Amino acid sequence: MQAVQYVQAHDRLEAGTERRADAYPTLAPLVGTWINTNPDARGIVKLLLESQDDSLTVRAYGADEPEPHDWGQIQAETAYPAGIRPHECMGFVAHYDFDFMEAQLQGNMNLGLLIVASFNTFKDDSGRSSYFAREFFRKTQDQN
Amino acid sequence: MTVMQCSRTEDQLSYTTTDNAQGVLDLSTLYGTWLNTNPASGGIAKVLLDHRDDVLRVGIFGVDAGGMRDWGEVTAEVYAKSVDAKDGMAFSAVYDFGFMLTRIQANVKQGVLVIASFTQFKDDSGRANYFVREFFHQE
Repeated sequence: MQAVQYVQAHDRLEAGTERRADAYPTLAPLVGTWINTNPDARGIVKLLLESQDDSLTVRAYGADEPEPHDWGQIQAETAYPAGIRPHECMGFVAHYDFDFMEAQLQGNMNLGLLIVASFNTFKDDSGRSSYFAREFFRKTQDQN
Repeated sequence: MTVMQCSRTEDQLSYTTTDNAQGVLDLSTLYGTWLNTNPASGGIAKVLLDHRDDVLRVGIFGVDAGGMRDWGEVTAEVYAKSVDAKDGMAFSAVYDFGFMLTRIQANVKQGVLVIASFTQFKDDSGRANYFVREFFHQE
């Protein structure tokens, strides 16, 4: 039997745990419309997370006037459960490339909130610093 | 005058800058040895943050039964808290172990280094990808 590799105790399956390579965690906890808890947010104001063919898609809206700026829909690179055993998905990573900048979004759920960290890198000559932001979102019933 | 593109209000500079070069961020807040605040952690035990040639280098040690497991050193991308700021307070890094890939997302908040790790397995072990957030204090 091939030894299971690991680099930290978290990576190790408990002894006797059946390993199922075909187990897919459900995306249901993540799917929905998420609104920034800060009504004065200057970053991401809304996120639409959808499930398509067992993959998670992300559509982000950035704060702007007169209405939020639609970043478009992309596929999340990976969705993450909370542990190495098959479980509900509660985290994701997604990458936006706007040409003049790139934004990597890393989201996770905690106590009913979706916490999204964005790592933003500018590729133009504007002199702006790459910056990090973390924002909090609550789920709504609205689809818009 | 070139119009500055933005994806959101947060991308806008609060002042007019004539410096068109991306400035180097001050990384002094990040440097040092960071230890997990949880002595019973099963994840990352220690993080070493250093710099060479103006690049932040990350060395992570994972918790293991016989001690710590050295993940090796990788370079990291550094981020400020806003487009105007020059103090580095966050970084991202990637460890590719072959059988798995771990994305590290970290930021300093009130003197604590908060690290979120997103681990993706690439082998046939049947292990699910997973997310963990841990907290570290400076040694």
